Amino acid sequence: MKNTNRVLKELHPLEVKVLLALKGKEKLTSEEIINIARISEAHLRRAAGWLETKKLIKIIKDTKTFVYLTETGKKYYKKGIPEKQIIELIDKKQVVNIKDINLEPTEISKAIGFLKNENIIEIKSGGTLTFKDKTQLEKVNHIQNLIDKAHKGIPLETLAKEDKKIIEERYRERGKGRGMFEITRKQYSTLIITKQGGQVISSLHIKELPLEKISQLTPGLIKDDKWRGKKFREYNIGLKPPRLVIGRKHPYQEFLDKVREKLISMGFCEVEGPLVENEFWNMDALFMPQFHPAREVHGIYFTRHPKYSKKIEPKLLEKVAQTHQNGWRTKSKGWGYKFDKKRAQRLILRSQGTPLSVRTLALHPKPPGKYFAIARCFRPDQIDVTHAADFFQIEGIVIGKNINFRSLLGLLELFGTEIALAKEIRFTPGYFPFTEPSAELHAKHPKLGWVELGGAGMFRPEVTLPLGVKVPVIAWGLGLDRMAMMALNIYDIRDLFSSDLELIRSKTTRVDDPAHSLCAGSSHLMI
Amino acid sequence: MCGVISFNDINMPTITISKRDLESLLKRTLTLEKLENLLPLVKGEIKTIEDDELKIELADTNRPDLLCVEGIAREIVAEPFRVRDFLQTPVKEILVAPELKSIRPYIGGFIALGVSLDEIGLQALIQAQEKLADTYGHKRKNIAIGIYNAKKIEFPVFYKAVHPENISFVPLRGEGRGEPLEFNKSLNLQEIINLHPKGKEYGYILEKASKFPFLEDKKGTPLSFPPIINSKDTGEVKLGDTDIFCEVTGTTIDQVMLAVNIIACNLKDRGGEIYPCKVKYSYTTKFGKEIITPYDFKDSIQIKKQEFENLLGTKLKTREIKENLIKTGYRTKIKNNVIKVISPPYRKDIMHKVDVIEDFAIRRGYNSFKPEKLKEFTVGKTTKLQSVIHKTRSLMVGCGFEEIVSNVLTSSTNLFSKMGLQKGNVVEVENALSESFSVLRNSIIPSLMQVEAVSSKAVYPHKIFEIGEIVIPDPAAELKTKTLINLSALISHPNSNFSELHSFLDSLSYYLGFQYKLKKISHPSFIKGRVGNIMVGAYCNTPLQNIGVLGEIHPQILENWGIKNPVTVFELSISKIFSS
Repeated sequence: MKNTNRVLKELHPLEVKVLLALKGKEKLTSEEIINIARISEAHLRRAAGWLETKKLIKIIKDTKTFVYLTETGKKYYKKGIPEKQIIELIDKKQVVNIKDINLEPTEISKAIGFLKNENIIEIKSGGTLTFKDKTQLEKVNHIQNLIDKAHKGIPLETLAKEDKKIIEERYRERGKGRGMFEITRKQYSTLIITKQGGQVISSLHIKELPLEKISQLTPGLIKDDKWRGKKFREYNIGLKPPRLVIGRKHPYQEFLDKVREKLISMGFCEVEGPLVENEFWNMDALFMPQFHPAREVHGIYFTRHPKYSKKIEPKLLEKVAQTHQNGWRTKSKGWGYKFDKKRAQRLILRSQGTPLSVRTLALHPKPPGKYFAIARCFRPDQIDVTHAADFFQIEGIVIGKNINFRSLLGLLELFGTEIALAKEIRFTPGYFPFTEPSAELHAKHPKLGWVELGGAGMFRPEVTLPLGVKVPVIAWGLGLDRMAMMALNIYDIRDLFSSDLELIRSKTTRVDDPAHSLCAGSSHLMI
Repeated sequence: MCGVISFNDINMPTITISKRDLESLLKRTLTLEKLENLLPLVKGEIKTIEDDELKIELADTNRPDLLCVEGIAREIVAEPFRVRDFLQTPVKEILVAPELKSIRPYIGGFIALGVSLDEIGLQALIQAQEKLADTYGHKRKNIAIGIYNAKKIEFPVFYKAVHPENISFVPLRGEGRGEPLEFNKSLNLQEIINLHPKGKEYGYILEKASKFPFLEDKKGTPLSFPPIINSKDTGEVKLGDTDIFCEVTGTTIDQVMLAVNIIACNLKDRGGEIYPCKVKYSYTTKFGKEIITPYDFKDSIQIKKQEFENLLGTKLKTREIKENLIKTGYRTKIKNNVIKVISPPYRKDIMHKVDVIEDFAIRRGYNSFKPEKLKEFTVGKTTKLQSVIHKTRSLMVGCGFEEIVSNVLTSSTNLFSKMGLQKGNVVEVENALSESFSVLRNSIIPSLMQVEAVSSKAVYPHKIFEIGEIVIPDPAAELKTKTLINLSALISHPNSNFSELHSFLDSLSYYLGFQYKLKKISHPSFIKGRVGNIMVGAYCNTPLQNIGVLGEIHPQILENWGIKNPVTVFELSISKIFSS
């Protein structure tokens, strides 16, 4: 009983209406309740949901086939079916000519055909209509009654055999005709009172109904002091509130911003650059030979139009060309092939973030310096779970007189512990055409084991010297998309760029640190 | 583990090896764990394991000698390279005809006697031949390799240029699509190009040649039609064959001779005795008119001990450097702290001192170096543009908009036809893999329309925005194109309209500090009378500048996209607002 009292106190006016409608009955369909309680379908759905959570009712959902009216049927519901309209006309004028009937020709011919077949009227020469047998009029009224009932929907199973036949004849077939009935399967619910629900209903009349309590405190109630002496309906604060759509950063962007913040906090400066590059900055200046497989159509996107950039600064181009051919003054042997200077101007879509680093170096920043770029890149890979149409790379450089291979390892270690929060890391030799020595960073993931996080290397002298940079430079890059996929619990890289709003809404990063989940033990990773 | 694009990964070559075969080359057994720990020596990583068969991915595209199990074994075994096994007196000759100079000028070859090839060994030899020719030889253009049963050949071998229709022989079977094709009848060289699967695949190499390269022996027995296919009779090595003739033809002499050296080393490692051939040219080459192959390039480089120490940041002993380099196959000579390093014959990748220094560091072990924190102080900061983007994003989120991140690569269907526009000036990709990703977007509106097109089931209202790159052609720019940052916002719900989004634009302009006027325009994507350009004037006396558009999308455009709710959008150029 204590429980019933508490439930009673928290009843919402809508719930009371529904319960009162159910009073004295075992169960009712949703349609019946709507009729009795005079509430909207949406209100009933909400109230029924609450009552079910409180275990006062049980809801059984089922589908039933209903007969409804088509647009034509609704017209006839208001005006009467053509047969009825014609009869009423004859009733009024006794003799009616077909020409005087104000209906569509197809409607007229069908209706007259029916009335004649049923012997209600006869057609005389000249198209005049008169009654033949008025006793048969009942048939027309019967159809009209069906129309009136179908306006609200008739469950198909409740129809008599002859009614079914009438509906079949006047049923709208898909895509043609102007039938007046249509048949739809519709979900409907039955609300059944539980034992506890019964107790609550029986107490409803004794207790003061919440309808008399203040539900919504309004400015009027405050202004006129009307709330004094009244009771407030108590809320059930455990109920789930209605869903809201809120403004929000994209989760991938949130992740990128977090990595950006980390890098800035470590003293890195951000740089930016164009999506369409020329081969010079994307590859030649990086000492990638022009015959390198990554420079063929399978490795890089070429533009159709425009095709070539403006001329490259001739002195710089000459130095780079010489370096490729014979090493120039870098003490390298070079690649030993004929460098094609025109090709250096060929426009491509940036395939890596490194051109941003080389462009930065070419501006001769004063050492020491640390730079990074979050770069969207493009490669002609078939789009699949691990390849998106375009993707992000985070790359950068460190310039300093006293840096060396051990500083490079120190930098990678910092990335491992600060960005991926790895507890255990290791280095393996790596290969990038423009760095030597090159190293890869692996971090121990609690579930996945060793995971590659990124790489770094010392820029080759063949890269730095033609640009006029005489101090060592570390170039580094992080495997960003993998970290993002792990952090966002995504297994298909295309989901990072998804157009599906509900999918985006479902993704979130951890509060403390979006990159956190990588190696600090996230709950559900499986790659 | 899925393969994810990482720091400049390019398509790395993968080879298949037998673990037992590797163990027999190493003369010891290895646990998988032990092998995994050794693979960094070759910059390799096991990708898949199937019983005895391992697929290994190799990162260093500049090391063709590692594209085979023998090469991997050589690095792991860490024994000094004994050059005398190579430098025997040549016993046989290959004679090169003058006309080849302009067709496929270079050749090298050798005989290996007493090779023990079991089935796995034979497979390894064939794989090495294919990987070298395909990966290092650029799909046989630069080099192609042929192997033969030496017992069927009478020396000297003649490397000739012949008329495509004058020579016929029965080619080896070819693996086409589906079943291997057997050719039991004799075909002339032109027929081989036209009919044989390998002819169809590699015929392009000889597209411009009027005469074709051809190898035959002293008796006139055909050996092969390089770089296409061997003769079935002489050019098929079978299980049990112990004496092998190998030749490499190509267009670059360094690559040809390096490939000869690599295969010779491989067969030596399988117990063969290598007998070099003397190649006699009628024209001069970088290495003279007569070349004995295999050939010891003796590529050498001198490095000071201090140079090792400076790059690696560690004090080192000369002995330590020497020992580790010898294990890597180098020959060394030391004088006054200067180390002279001579590459083994199977390597030609040393361009600079730094390459040798890395080899030393790898052999010593990367994890033996103590990482050191960067000591010099630098100030970290972002760019002005990024700060503006950041502020704009916060404002849009404050307005209750959800952010979208889309691909920049899209289709002209999305950019133009679905938006009711004529195809405009836009940066197109020449080698697109599909129409869906073939142009760079010049507007963000289509990206947001795409979201609406697939998100009709997502709870309404939809208030979305994206800040990102667009690219437009610009003949005056260095790169003939410009990358700009745009903001686009879209609202869609049953009652959405112009005025609702206009209010947001108004607030945004206030907080971003720019003033604008809307100028009515007509635009095929929008309802007439409900669209305008966003005009700003930075200074007095300067004409107003168009920075974007605001309007209600035309129902026909909504239908093109399959969108069922009214949509209003605006787009404006962040770069343009803040360039002044």
